[in-house]
Amino acid sequence: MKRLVHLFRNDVRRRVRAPMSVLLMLAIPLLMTWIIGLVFAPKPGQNQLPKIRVLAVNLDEGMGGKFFLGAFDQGEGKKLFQLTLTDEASGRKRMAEGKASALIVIPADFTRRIVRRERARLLLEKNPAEQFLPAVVEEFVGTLAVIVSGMGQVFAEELQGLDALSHGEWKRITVTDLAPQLEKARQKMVVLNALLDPLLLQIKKGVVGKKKEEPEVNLFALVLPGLAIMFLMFVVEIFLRDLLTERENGRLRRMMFSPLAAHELILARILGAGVMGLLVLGVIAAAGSLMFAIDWIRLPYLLLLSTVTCLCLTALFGLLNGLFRNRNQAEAFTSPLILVFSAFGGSIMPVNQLPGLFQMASRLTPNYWFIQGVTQTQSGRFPGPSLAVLLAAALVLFPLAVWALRRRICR
Amino acid sequence: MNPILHIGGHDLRLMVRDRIFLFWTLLFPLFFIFVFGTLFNAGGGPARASLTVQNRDEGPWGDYFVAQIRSPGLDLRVTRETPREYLRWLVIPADFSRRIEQRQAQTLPLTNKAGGSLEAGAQAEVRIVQAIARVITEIVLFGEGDLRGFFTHRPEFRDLVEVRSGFPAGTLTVVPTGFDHVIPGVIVQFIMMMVLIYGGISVMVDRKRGTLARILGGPVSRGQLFLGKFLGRWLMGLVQALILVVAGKTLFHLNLGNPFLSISVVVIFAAAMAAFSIFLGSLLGKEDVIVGLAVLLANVFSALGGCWWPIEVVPPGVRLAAMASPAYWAMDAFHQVIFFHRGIVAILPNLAVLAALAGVLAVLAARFFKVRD
Repeated sequence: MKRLVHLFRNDVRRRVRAPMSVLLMLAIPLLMTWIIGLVFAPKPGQNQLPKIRVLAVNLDEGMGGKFFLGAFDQGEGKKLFQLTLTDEASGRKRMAEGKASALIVIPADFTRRIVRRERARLLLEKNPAEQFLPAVVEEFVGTLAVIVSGMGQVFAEELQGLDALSHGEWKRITVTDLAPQLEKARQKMVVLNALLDPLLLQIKKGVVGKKKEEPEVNLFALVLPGLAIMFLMFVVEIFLRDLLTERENGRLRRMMFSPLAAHELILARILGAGVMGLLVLGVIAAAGSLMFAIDWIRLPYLLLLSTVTCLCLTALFGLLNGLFRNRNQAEAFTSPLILVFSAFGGSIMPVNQLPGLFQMASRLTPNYWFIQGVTQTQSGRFPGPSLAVLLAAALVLFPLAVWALRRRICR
Repeated sequence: MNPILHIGGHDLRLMVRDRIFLFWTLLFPLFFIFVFGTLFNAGGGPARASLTVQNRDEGPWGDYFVAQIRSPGLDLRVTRETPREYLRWLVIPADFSRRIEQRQAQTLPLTNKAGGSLEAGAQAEVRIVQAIARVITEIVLFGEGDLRGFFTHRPEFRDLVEVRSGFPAGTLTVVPTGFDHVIPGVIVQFIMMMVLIYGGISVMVDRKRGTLARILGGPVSRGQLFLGKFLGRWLMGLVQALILVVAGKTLFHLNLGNPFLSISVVVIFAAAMAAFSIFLGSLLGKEDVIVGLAVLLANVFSALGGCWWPIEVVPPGVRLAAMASPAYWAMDAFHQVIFFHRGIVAILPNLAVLAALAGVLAVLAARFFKVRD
C-alpha cells in the first residue's frame, strides 16, 4: 500500500511539473462552452437571434406599401427585424454582397392593384448563403400578405372610393378628400371590433413532455458536461498511455528491478488516472459554477457520478492500453475511439438531434450515461441508471484491464 | 529529384500510410457532414412541418377551418380522437361552429411536444394564423347576416398579395441543401485539424529523433529542408480537401460554385495552416501539448469562423471577433463563390488576408524552425 501511494504521488508530481497537456485539456471544454454560450445563450431582454437585416424598396405610388412595411416596425416585427429602406439599385447591390437576409421590392402599382382587386406581386429576394433567417422573413411576409389581402377585401369599397377620387394618383389626395371614406371605414371598424376584440379565433400555445420539476437549464450547463467527459477521456488516456511509453523507453523494466509488484504499478497508474480525472472534473465543475453560473444542484450526486465515471474510464483505457503492442497503436486507436464515443454519445451534439439509429448507438458510450446522469443531477434526481450502467461497466472492465496491463508489463 | 519535392512527397506518403489515415481524413469528417447536413435540412427547400388537428366540431366550420390550414409545406393529420402520437396538436372544440355562428370569441389549444423543431413549430403556427386571418376576413365580408347561411353564399377569400420569393439574379437557381452549407465548414475545419496535428507533431518528432539533422547531412540546405517540410504539410491539407470534395460531390452532390475559385481558397488556406503547423512543431516539444493546442485552436477558429453554425445567427460582436479567425475568411470566400457565384474580384480581399497570414506564419515558422533541440 505504501509503495502504491508512493508511485501514485510520483506520477502526480510528474504531471504537475509538466502540466501543459492537462491544462489544455481543461481549457478546451471551458473555452468551447464559453464560445457556444456567447453565440446561443439568450441575453436578458434580447431575442435569441440577432435582429434580421431586411432591405426594402418601396416603389409603391399609394399607401399600401408603407402600410405593409410598417408591420416591420411594430410589435413582434420590431423585435425581430431591422428594416432599412433603400433604392432598388443599392438594395440589389447589397443583396449581391450578402449584406442582408432578404430584400423586399414593393412594385409601383401595389396599392392600385389591391384597390382594383387585382393581384399585386411582391418580390422577396433571399440571401442564398443564409440558412434560417431568410425563411423567417418569408413566413412573416407571407402572413402580412394574407392580412393585407384580407384588409383589401374588407375595405374594398372605401379604397375604391379613394381611388376614384384621386384618379389613380394617390399622392394628390387631401385630408378633406379622405374624410368621408375614413368615416365609412370607421363605421366598418366598429362592426369589425366585435370580431377582432377579442379576436374571434385565437390559439393558446402549450408545451408537453417537459417535466415540471425540471428547472430551466442554463445553456452552459447543457454544453459543458458533454465537452467535459470528452476531454476527461483524453486526460485519462494520456495518463494510462504512460505505461506503454515507459515500457518502450525501458523505464518500466528498470522499475521492475525494484521491490515492486506488477499489480502495484498497475493499480497506482489506474488510481492516478482516476484521481487525475476526478480532479479535472472537479476543476471543470468549479469553473462551470464560477464562469457560467451553473448550479449543479446536487453536488454529492455529481461527485458520486464523477467518481464512477472516472473508474469506468480508467478501466476502459487501461484495458485498451493493455491490448495494444505499442504507443503508436494505442494512439491510432484511442483518439478516434474517443471522438466516435463523443460524436455518438452527445458530447458534440445533443443525442436527440441525431438520426434514430445513432440515438440507439449512443447508449453504448460512457458519454451518454455521464451526460444523462448530470442532467438528472441538475434536476435534483438521483442519477441511478447512469450510475448502474457505468459501475457495471467498470466492474466488468477493471479486472480485464488489470489482467491485460499485467500481461503487457510482464511480457 | 528536387530535394524540396522529395521531402514534401515523403512526408505526405508517411501521412497517407498511417493506418488510421482514412478515419481522420474521411470517416470522421463524413460523420460530421452527414449529421450536421441532415440537421440543417439535407434536401434543401423549406422544412416540412407536421400538425395533428383533432377536429371535434359538430358543425361544418371545423372542416372548413382545417381546409384553410392545409398547405403544401404542411404534413396535416386530421383525427376526431385524441392523438396518441403527435409533435403539434391543435384542438378544434365540439362547439367550434356554434361559437363562430354566434360570433363568440374562442381559443384553440395548440400543444407542442418539447424537443420538437422550433422552425417546424413556427411554420405550423404561421399556417394556423393565416387560416384564422382568412376565416375572419370571410366572416367580415359575409356581413352581419346569419352565419348558418355562410356556406351557401360564401364570399371567397382572394389572395390579393402574392409573394414571389427567390434568390438574387445571377446567384443560385436551386435551393442549397444542408450539405452545401455544411461541407465547406467541414473542409476548413479538417484542414486545420489535420495539418496542425499531423504536421506539427511530425516536425517535432523529426527534430527530437534527429531526423532533421540527418537530412541536412545530405545534399540539402536548411532552406530546402524548411520548404520541403512546408510542401509536405501543404500537400496534407490539399489531400484532405480533395478527399472531402470528392466525397461531397459523389455522396452529397456538393455545389462548389466556380471550382477554380473554391480551390484557390483551399490552396491559400492550406498554405497558411502548413506554415502554422511548422511554427507549432518548432516551438513545442511535447506531442500531447501540440495535439491539445491544435485541437483548441482548430475548434476555436472553426466555431468563430462559421464552420459549426451559420454565421448569420451569431451576435454582431462575435461576428466582429470572427474576423480574427482564418476560418472566417475562408468561409466567407466559399459563400461568395458557392452561393453568390461571384468572381475573383469579390474574393480578392479574402485571398489577400489569407495570403498575408500565410506569409507572416511562414516567416515566423522559418525564424523558429529548429533542426535540433
